[in-house]
Amino acid sequence: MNEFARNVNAAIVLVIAGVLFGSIFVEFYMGVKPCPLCFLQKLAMIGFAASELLNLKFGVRTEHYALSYLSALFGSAVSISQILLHICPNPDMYPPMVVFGLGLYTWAFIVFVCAILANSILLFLYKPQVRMKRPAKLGTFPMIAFILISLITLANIFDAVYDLLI
Amino acid sequence: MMMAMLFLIFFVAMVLIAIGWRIPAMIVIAINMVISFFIFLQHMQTQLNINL
Repeated sequence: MNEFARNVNAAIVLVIAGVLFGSIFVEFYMGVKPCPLCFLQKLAMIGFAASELLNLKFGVRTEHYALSYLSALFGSAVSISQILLHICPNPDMYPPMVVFGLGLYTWAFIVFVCAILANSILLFLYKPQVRMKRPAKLGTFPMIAFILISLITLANIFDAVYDLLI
Repeated sequence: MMMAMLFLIFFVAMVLIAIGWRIPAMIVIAINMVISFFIFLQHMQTQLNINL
C-alpha cells in the first residue's frame, strides 16, 4: 500500500509539472503575460508538489498530507477569487485566457480540486506503518518527478524576474 | 521581486528535501504558504480598492 501511495504521489507531481510547463508555454509561446494571481496559483501548485515530494523521500506521513492540503486550499482560494473577479468585473481586470472553453484560472481551480480529491483518497487508504529511519533513495519514476519539479521551480524564478524587467 | 523570492524559497525547500532535512523543509513550505496568503490578501485589497 505504501508503495502504491508513493507511486500515485509521483504521478501527481508529474501531472503538476505538466500543468506548470503548460503555463510557461502559454507565457512564452502564446505571449500571454501572467498576472500576480497566476503567480500565486503557480506557487500553490509547487507547494503541493513539494509536499508530495516529502512523501516520496521520507515515506508517507499525515504531516506531509496536511502541508499539501494547506497548499491546495490556498491555491483554490486564489483561483476562486479570480473566477469571482471575472463574474463581477472591474476596469483594471486581467483579460482571461480561454482554453477549451474555460479560463486558465478555472482550470487551475479544477486542478486544485482534483489534487484535494486524490489526496483525500490516499489519506482514506492510508494505514500507519513502520516509519523510515533514513530518507529513501528515490527510484527512477520519483527521481524524474523530483528533477522536473525542481527545474520548473527554477524556471519560475527566472520567469518572475523576467516579468519584472519587461 | 517578491514572487521571485517566494519561488526561490521553494527551490531551497526542494534542496532541503534532496539532502534529507525533513523538518526544515516542512517549515519552509508552511511559512512560504502563509507569506503567499498575506500577499494574496494585500493584492486583493489593492485590486478591489477596499479594506479587507
